[in-house]
Amino acid sequence: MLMSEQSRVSLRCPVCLSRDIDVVLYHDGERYYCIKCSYTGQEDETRRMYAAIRKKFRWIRRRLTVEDIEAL
Amino acid sequence: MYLNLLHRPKMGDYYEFFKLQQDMAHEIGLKVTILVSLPAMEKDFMVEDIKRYHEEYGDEIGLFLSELNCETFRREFHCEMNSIWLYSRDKKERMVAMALERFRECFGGDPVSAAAYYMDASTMEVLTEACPSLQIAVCACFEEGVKNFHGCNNSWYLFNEGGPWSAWYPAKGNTLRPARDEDDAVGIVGVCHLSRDPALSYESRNDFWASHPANVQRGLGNEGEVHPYDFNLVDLYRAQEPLNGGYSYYNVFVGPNWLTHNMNIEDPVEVSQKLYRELLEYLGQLRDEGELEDMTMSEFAAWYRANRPLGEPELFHAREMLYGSGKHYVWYLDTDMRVLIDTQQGGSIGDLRPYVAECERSTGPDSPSLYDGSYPYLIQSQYRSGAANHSFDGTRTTLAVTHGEETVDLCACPTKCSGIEKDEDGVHVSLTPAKLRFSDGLTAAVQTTYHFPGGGRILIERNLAEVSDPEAELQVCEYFKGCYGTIEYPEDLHGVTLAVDGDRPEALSYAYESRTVATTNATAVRAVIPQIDCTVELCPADGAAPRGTAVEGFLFSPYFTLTLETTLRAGGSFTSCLCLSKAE
Repeated sequence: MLMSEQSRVSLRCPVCLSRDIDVVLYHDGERYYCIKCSYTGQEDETRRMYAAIRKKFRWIRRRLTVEDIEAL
Repeated sequence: MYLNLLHRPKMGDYYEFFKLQQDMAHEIGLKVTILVSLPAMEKDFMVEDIKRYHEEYGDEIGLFLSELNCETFRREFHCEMNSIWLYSRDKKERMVAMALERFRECFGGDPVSAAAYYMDASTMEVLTEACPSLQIAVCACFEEGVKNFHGCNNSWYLFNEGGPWSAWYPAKGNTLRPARDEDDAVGIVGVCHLSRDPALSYESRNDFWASHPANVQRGLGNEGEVHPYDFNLVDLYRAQEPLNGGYSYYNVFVGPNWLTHNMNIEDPVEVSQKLYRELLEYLGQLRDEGELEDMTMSEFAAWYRANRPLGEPELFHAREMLYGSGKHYVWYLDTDMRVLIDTQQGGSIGDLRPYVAECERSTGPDSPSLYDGSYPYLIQSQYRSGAANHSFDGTRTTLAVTHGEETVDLCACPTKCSGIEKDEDGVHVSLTPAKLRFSDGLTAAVQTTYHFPGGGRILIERNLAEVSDPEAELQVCEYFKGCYGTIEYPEDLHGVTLAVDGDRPEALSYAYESRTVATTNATAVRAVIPQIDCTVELCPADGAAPRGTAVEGFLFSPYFTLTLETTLRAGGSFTSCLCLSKAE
């Protein structure tokens, strides 16, 4: 698997992302914060908020074939 | 389904990921078109690799015009902007000449394919004049504009909404408009950058919901390595084949920057690479099963020219597949208009672009449009209010059904598309009945059918299929609320003329005064919008309607409204003709 030197993961603000806006969080040690809104939190909290955003996608795990789509 | 798999080399560390993409495609045996930028052509090792890919695998080599910034370019143009469509015509000419000269030096001839996220009319003209060998270009991003601008912190200046979603013959004067005939045509086949989700690209960002696994990751539409949406979107496009003469078109055009660390993706790099590989594997599987044919871009152009005549309408029956609503949208496109039927709102029109007006659109500092390449709308229900929510409603159509003192707006009565047929009279889109319930217990069902006979006309047929009291008389009002624009904010409507024809013909010039002109025995109600050279008219398909109105708005509701009213009983029907034409 090819890896870049930049093979780190950054985090986006979950509050802005819930409004369909990409804002990469800054961080001060383990505390992440958003410069566009007042969100602040650690990585695990931030990832839990991503999971919460994903809850709106009720079919995120559902495979729909052509036949399934035609039957919708 | 016909597939174009497109790759492009990028500079620096990203080049390794381009090679990874190439390896994946070649392992699966998919045909690739490599779109080469000016910076890539400055790197001899890249040119040599690309030639080798061409010789060993038959990859087509095309020209990429959305990455320009390199030392030679900066020396010549003193600018770092990569967006060719946002330069002046003079600079477009020089840039195209520079890129073609370099292309010839590197590859010994002119390209047959090219790509940019958007090619406005002047870029298209410059390119096709300078490169007569060109057969096809990626030249637009379906519904990329306002929502992406917001989503990218108001910093992404790619506005080209209002165009086709698949392949088309771009017209002179406006790339997004399908050409009427050979004289009107630029002369090449246009295709979109990526295949977007026609439901979610209307409701939200098209750069989340596309034939691009990393875009879907960006939108959080996957859960790690679980990503059925990527395959569902392929199958949604495959499901369109019966509507369009047995064909559908898909393209995958993922930059290598999406297969490594990307600031808009929180998944590990390995996941991004795995999802891309799995999408290609699925496309390879479909090819092996005889369900898909992979082609280079120029091969697809040749197929398209041989099989899709100019002026052929195109349809897309979209179903929402991620939220789990199953909502239906129907897109219709011909040389006179692009229309979106929002079935969830009783079958209203949620987006309407009058190609018949032939609005010209070049972008760049020497154009009045500046950055904005979008084709003007008459209706855009996401940007311009649509059904009433906070205060007044905005651009949309609907049917208002009145019983006694109570009116039900069909926007509150969900329907679905029940069938799409084509015959010698055109295209016919039928919806399931909208079910209405009034507070006194009366129930009714209205079944809507849209007919597209061509010539800039839409026949909207409303059948009062059921009424719980067969003696009840219901008043129905066919309702069109419009304006013009390309973005969310209102444009100046001064000078728009509103008029009614009937017993008392009358007209007014729009001045935000909240006036109404009305007539009995209405034969037509219309708005003439000189700003976009467009006339929109609503008239009864047969005879006259008992009443028709044209209503001026005010600055808190900057729209015009056209209505036709009549009375129906159970079994009755009313058909209106929405006519778009070029204003004289």
